[in-house]
Amino acid sequence: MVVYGFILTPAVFVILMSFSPDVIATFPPPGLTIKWYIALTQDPRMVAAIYNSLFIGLSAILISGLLGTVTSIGMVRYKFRGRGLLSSFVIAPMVVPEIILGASLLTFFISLGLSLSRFSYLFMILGHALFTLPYVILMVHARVYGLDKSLEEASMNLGANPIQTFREVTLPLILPAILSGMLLAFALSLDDYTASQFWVMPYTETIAVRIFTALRTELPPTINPLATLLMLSTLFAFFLQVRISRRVTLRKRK
Amino acid sequence: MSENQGPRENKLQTSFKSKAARIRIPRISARLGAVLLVGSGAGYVFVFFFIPILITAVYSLQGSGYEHILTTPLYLDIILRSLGVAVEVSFLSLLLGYPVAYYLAKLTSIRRETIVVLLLFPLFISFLVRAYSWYYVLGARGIVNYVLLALGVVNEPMRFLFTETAVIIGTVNWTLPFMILPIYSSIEKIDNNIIDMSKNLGADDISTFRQVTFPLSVPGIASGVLLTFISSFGMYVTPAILGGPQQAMIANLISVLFLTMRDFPLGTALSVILTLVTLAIVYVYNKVVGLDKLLEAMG
Repeated sequence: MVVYGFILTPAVFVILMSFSPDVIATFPPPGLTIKWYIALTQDPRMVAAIYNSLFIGLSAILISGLLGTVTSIGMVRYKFRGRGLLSSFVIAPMVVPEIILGASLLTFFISLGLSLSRFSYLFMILGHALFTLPYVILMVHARVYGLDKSLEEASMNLGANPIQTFREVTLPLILPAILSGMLLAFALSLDDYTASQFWVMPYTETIAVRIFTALRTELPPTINPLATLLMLSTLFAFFLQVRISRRVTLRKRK
Repeated sequence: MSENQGPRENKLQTSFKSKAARIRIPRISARLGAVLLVGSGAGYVFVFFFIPILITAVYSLQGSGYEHILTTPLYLDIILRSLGVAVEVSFLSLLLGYPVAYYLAKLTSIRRETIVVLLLFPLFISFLVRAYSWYYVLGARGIVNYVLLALGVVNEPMRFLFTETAVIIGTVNWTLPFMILPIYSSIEKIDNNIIDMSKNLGADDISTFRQVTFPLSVPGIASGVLLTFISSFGMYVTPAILGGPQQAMIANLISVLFLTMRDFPLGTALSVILTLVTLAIVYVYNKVVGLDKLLEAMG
């Protein structure tokens, strides 16, 4: 319990401080106000950061969700030489430090002659898809692996073709895992600064980049509401994910 | 499993398989399917991860980056400091995390799924926000100084932020779940009969722990230390936010070399060093404990 408190308490202070009327938050806050939340919605850079986070995050998890699902199915359903090696290979971006992903992808794009200032959105989306892909694969792979193969075989025996079988049988069964994987991926994308710093331009600034830059420079009081928002959205993703996976386990038990 | 089997055995296996296997997609299109399905993800990782790292490695060999790093005390200091911080963080996380994992594993009133969810929960609270939230705890205007001033322990705010202590506190705060989860899984898996047997044979609680529970939890400790070590060795955000210039680690140096100094030969060389150290640690772990143990522990 003490350890849990140690893990969680500091984050609670950010929420508390987001309601503090002080420009430089001091403990204890002299009062409570929502004026910085209102100020947040009126600051164009902050609003742009929220839009960018949504756009980049959603685009990236569409890519990693699709690729992750397809790869996981392939890895479970087909037996081939070097499968073990291949699974370590697709998980590798998770093991190597994020700073390396950021720096090397930038080096790669530059050596291709792509200019960062023009293609920053593309860099961000492709990069976020890269570092979230292993997480999607881990979650979907576990689900496909645990799937009862006889369901698919029954469907085939009843005359459905592979595409119909996938759409009517396989997909509905693994969809919860895909969604959980994508939610986790979205939470990670929202929170990323380490890798993003190499791909970002002022016009593609995300919430995490805005917070980090603000911490380094002016530390505006709107940063706590923005951080609270970021924290709540990653938490929301978590609860949604838990709900989805719990429904699956309940159904399995029946 | 099957990748070790020869083609002959594979064929045998196929012919013995149920009718359904034959009704399935013809052989050639199955192979094509495998290539397309697995290839899509693997191809993505190949193009945007593997090739970029190769290019980085090639770049790093072109300048005198490595020579420069090995002859500059500042860079060597930063590499050694990063190793030092990673060791300290791993040690502290183990010290704090082991008792928690042990206690959780002995709790029979809560289901395993609930405990895993509770442990995963902090990982979803924005890591960036958690790093800077320490401003309000350790800062000059934070709660710790508020209490110290109010109690009259100190007359002016103490400086905690931008020190190595702050970096280590912030990092341990983040790595603890990575340590607790695998140790919890390894202790929880121990067959209760073994423990009972040890007690029936006359061992007391302490010697049962020393000779039975602890040795059996070593794979969990190894997984926890691996996760903690590699994630703290290459971390960027926590030292950048909670540390001063004196606390810069490898990742911070890489960022400065790339983005501020635009020194690509040096930046790429340092990136290669960080990648190699990380992979070497994972390699040793894989040889000694086995990577599959890690996935087992997490799920």
